Amino acid sequence: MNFGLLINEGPYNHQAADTAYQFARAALAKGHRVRRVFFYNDGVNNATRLTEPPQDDRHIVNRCRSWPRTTASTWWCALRRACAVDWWRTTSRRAFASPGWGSWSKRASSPTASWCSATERER
Amino acid sequence: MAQVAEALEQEQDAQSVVKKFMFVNRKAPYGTIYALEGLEVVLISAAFDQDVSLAFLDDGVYQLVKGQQTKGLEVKNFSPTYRALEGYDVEKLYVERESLEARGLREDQLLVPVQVVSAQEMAQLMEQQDVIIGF
Repeated sequence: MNFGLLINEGPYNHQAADTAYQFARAALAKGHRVRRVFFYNDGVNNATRLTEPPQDDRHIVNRCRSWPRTTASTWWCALRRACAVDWWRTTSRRAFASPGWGSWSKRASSPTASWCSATERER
Repeated sequence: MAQVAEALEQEQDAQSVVKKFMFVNRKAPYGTIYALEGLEVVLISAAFDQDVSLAFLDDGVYQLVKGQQTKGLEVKNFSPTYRALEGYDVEKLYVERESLEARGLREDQLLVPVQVVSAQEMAQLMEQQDVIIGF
């Protein structure tokens, strides 16, 4: 199965980014494909290289960055949202592609067999 | 955080008057950052020699459960830090009985010595505080 992941939440506050990462890894381990990962709204903060977590904590951004080349996944960010947080200049362009708005919506509507929304709102 | 820092600064100005702070923990330890952040603030308050107490209600009681295993979650197990609170003279830990019972938990399953109190007693404890901060 081809999965696309949509991540709407930033790192650390809630478990959305962790859930998405672990879901993607589990899916790959079972032989599925994760073709696209979209960061949207606060989700774009999962891609900023300015992230400095405590040393004994997981590094959510680097964890994503080390991944795409080996799995043929592409990580997409929604550019306009990103601009709102002055994010684009702080993002590693090698690891994350930003398609811009037109391309983003085109990609989003491309045929992925299943969508998994990683939104995790505060209970 | 800002609220706490401000309150603490005012205390320093007022010739180190000690206020009664209660930190109310209502959320499960993992899945959100609140429990960890709450614990950080408790340690800071204690460093300012304030009268600190902690309350654990609702899913917050899970923060104190023994034998937490976070390897599968790939996050740090910070529960041993609750054992360090004693070293900071933070010894007033109150756990709501109703919350424990609703989750099938007993006092002997908790990491640290606590006082188990009823919801009504908890309300009285809150009434006695100068500052209450919820997480």
